[in-house]
Amino acid sequence: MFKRLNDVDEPTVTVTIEERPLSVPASDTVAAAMLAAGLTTTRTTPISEAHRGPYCMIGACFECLVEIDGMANQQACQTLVRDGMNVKVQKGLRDIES
Amino acid sequence: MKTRYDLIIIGAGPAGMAAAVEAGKSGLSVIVLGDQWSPGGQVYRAIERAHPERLKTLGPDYRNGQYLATQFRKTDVEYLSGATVWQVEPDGIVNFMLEDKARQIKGKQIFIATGARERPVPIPGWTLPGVMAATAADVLLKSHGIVPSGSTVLAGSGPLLFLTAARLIDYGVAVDAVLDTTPLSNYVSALPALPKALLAYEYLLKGLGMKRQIRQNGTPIYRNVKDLEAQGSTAVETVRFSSNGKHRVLKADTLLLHNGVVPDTQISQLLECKHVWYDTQRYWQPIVDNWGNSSKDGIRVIGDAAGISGAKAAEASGHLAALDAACGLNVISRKERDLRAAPFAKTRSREKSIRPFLDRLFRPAPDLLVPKNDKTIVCRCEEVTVGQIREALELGALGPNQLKTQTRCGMGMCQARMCGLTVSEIIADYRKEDISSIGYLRIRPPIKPITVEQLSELELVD
Amino acid sequence: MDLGTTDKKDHHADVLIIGGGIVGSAVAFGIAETGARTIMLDEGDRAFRAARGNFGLVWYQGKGQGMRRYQEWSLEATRLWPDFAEKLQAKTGIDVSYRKPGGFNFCVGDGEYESRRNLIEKIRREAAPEPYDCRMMDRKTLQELLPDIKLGDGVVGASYSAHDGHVNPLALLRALHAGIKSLGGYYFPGHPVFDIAQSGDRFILKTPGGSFTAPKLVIAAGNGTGRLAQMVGINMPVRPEKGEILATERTAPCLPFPCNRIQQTAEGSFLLGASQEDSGFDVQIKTRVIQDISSRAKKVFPVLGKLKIVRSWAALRVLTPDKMPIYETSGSSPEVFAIALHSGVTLASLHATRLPEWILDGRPPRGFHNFRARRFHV
Repeated sequence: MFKRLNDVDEPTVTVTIEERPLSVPASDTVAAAMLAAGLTTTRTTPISEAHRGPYCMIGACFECLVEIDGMANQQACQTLVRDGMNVKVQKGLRDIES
Repeated sequence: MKTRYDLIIIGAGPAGMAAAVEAGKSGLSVIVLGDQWSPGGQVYRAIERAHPERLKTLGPDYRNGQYLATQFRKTDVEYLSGATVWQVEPDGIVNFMLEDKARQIKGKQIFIATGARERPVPIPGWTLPGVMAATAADVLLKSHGIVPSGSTVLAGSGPLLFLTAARLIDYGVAVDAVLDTTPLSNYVSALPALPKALLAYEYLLKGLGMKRQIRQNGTPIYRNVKDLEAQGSTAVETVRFSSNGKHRVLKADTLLLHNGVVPDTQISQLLECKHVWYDTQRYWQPIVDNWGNSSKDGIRVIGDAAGISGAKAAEASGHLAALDAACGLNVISRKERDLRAAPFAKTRSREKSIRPFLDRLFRPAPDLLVPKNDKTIVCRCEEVTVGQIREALELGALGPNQLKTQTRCGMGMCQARMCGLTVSEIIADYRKEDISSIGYLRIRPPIKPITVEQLSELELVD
Repeated sequence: MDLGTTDKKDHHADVLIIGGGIVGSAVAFGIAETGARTIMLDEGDRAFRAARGNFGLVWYQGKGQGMRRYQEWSLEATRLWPDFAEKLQAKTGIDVSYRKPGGFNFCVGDGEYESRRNLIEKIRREAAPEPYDCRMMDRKTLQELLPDIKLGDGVVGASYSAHDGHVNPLALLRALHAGIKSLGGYYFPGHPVFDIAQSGDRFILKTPGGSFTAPKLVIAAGNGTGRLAQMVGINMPVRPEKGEILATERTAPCLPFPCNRIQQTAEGSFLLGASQEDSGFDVQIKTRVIQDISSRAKKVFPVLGKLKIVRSWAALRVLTPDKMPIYETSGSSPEVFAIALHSGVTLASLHATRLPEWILDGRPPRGFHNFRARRFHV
């Protein structure tokens, strides 16, 4: 559970996360945007389908893998949001075509 | 961007920035590769974007970074942000990713300034969403102005645990509890180092101040915490623990874990530099001399990546390494090097005087280094548990590399960043052997993922 | 130096095996099964270990050109594999994931296709009058067999054999070790052998953890075989050849056939190989080499381009001068058996079932003399 301090004015972009359109600061990473929107799960594991979410936020743990604009297994904490971006929780194994 | 440089500095935190500033004065061709979008590393994260309110609340230690960042920007060196290094070869080749393209450059000298990372904290349930490293809260706060809401608990040991708690409280977060796992015996063993620590007394005062602030906020600090466990189904819901023997349960929507920081040795291990085991804080650090030279020619390690000493010591080590490099490349004389190095050496020495005390006081609790519960996940990527590791050890696996092939532990995307230390600790404990003879997992490229296509399109320097 | 937990005393066995890799373990497994007292010695954690670096191919096609006996030996091995895998599972509970869907050797460009066809035909002629079950397949037929993954434009076709398959090499090694243990055999890792002496009808092996004696000694130590065999007067011409392999992130299954340079594991990762580098005992990953591997993989299956490479490793193949196995023996008591080859996975089924007769009863498989080191005039 997270909230924004909203103590600074920033330009925003619109992204869609798990089918929800959201207006988020342009300086957000996908992981930050997800956490602020109440989504703590970024992926389910290929092995046991366990829920995982961001752990380190600095690109070391690889738990925050999500599908961004159809591309699977992208590190949400290492990707800045972009206007029109479409983010989905990474469910298990990726498809080879995606 | 050229292909060949005198110095390639990997990391744009205090050590990397300081090295660049110093090297910039000497006319060497220098490039700095930082993997974040702006300089500062972790300690000065987002320093350039920080508005006055944020700067004020985060305090003078953070604000210090502004001056350094300004100097860094003014320096005549190339700086690439968002550059992720995935391989370094001993002859000075550095492969990195920039804007989704793989690139290669070559340097006469490489400065590894990759800083520190969090020690993994393998407790049952640590893989649940909502359980995060304390650093993660720092990133969310500094870079994004996002803080935990709901029930928030911090658990572990070390100065950063209390600093994070105090910061969150500054920002109005209801921190329900701080669970301190510092073994009580540490207070005794740290005493002999106290006199030396008084040389850098302001750190001691800061620490006491933070604890006072936390208590004044009404947040209980539980002592002598053991048996930590996170519970929940698809996210963390409660945290169980014992404090001075008494068992308790607390509600937790966010559980922040922290058990100290360790040098980020991914690149120094990849290059097979010699490392030494620092037992007080249970981590490996590359063997370096006063100028940051490692056991491999042309490879230096500076800042926390060479041993945890803090931001100011990191800055000093950056200056020292750059001065020696300039001397080695015949830009300045030995005499000039030594003259200019003197104040930095003094600063570093003073900053390091607090370490023996802090390192002993916050020596990690044994049960957090070697998890006892067989169901605890050690390798998060491949979901390998303590039980599976013990089974492989019983079958005769001698070390971490054999264990890797038996259990897949260490084969995941994180390249053992989250499990490497724990694996070595478990093996050392099982075999009743010194961990320095057990060794560490062999690190191979790519140390950050790169696609097949990106690799096939890389333009080689030679 | 890693040491196992032994008290420094003498250990006696009926058969001592130096080498705990795929070859040593398969032999040890077979010998332990007979009830003979078996001890297997191995090095420490950072040893070279070809056993842990390979692709896991159980391969028949393309082998044995110039030595018919080896082609037959490989065929026999693939025929025994299904039962062998079952036996391992029954004895240890470990599933080594042996699959025999048939295998491909993809050809990019007409030149490669022609070359491959010539090789296959040569072997077919040498195998006659026995049939050689391997044929060339054109691109159209090939793509029909691979509905879930598209071939690159340059792929002209492949050679195919229904006898080819693959196994999880790490699971295989684990199963062999577990099997040896359950059959009453002993494993001493961290015990590198630094001296071999003879005393009467026994060999005496010295290790940092104590000495080991036996009337029969098997040397199956990979690239260490040459040095060790020399200690007992046997010349085994082996040299290391580096191979680098890349592993990608996991995807949903889409490549059900193994091929010699690309395969998808049961977990879903793609393994991409393979290089052949003559660089002594160096096991460093070279950018240029892994780049070539990546380019090649992308030519065969363009979709692989988008997959992230998550790890790499290099291992040293055990090469003999003609790349075919050497099975050597001293023929006198105490008897030493030396084995050097790079297809230990394929031949594991034979090593566990046919070699015990050779080692314990003096009954070598038919035509085994073909595999002796003297063929190199050493």
